[in-house]
Amino acid sequence: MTRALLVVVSLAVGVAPAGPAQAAPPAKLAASLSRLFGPGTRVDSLRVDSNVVLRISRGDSLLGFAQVGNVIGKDQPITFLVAVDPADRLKDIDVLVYREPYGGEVAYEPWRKQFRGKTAADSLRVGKGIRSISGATISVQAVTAGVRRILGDLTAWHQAGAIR
Amino acid sequence: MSDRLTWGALPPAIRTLARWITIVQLVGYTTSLVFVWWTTRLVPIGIAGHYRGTDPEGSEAAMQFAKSFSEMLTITHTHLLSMAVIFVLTGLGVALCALSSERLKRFLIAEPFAALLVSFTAMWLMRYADPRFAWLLEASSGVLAVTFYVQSYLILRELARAKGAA
Repeated sequence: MTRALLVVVSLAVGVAPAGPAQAAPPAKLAASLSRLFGPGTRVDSLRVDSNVVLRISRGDSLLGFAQVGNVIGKDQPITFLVAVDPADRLKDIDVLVYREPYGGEVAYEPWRKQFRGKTAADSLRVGKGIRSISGATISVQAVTAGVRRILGDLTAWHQAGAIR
Repeated sequence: MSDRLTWGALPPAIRTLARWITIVQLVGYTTSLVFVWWTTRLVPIGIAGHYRGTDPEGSEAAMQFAKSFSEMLTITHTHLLSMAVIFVLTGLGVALCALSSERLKRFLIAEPFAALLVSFTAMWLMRYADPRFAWLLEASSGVLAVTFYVQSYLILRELARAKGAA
């Protein structure tokens, strides 16, 4: 990961409406973006109202968009990333910071991969397209609702030309 | 033996307290068994899956992942300490019963504590050594539950007799 990527990511996290207590560590966010979109990408911060959207590109080609979100689990915020490709299909999600003592299984690959390829038109509800996790029901519900909201926002903003 | 303290010799208010503690514990213990049935179906394969995880692609039901070391420690200390308190209360209740067999009384008092240690040892062995230890866990937990219901029955029966004699 490049220093430039870290700087842009730091800027994006710093102005996120979630507030500093719920922000993702810049290094974690940079590592997540690198995992999802590959190394050597350019990350720009775009603003839509009070939201910060990350645009990821390589050279002249757009690779996708991403946004950091926060939802409340049992009583702590869960900080996660939603990444979409240029066709508004969900590329992947990443749990950046999990603060609760229980329910951290929402960060596990077998659960996260259920979201890949979904669009805003798909059912992103627990029990209808998304399976739950035994012992992590609250976190599953919270993260699923958060992903659904961000995917809907990113799709709407992209289709409206607010992000490009 | 007549020189021993029994429920009949205790004030009615203490017997009322004991009766209601026993009833509430019966409801609580039964609820916990329903919870275990709900999460494991009370079969060894379900118990092993609950702690060791199951194949995420194996079914459409809720995913089950292996319990972490930290979760295992939490489960162990919370259950051991709270269940020890339950069996201290029922053990005291049985100790105050006028059973004809002193040996049976002592067995009923001591058995749950031994079963608790066996159960949680089996739980760790099942998680980290071999899933077949689920059979030992199920057997010792079953004996524990039966002992609890026998203890509760004896206490409530003795309290009813003491009330009738008063």
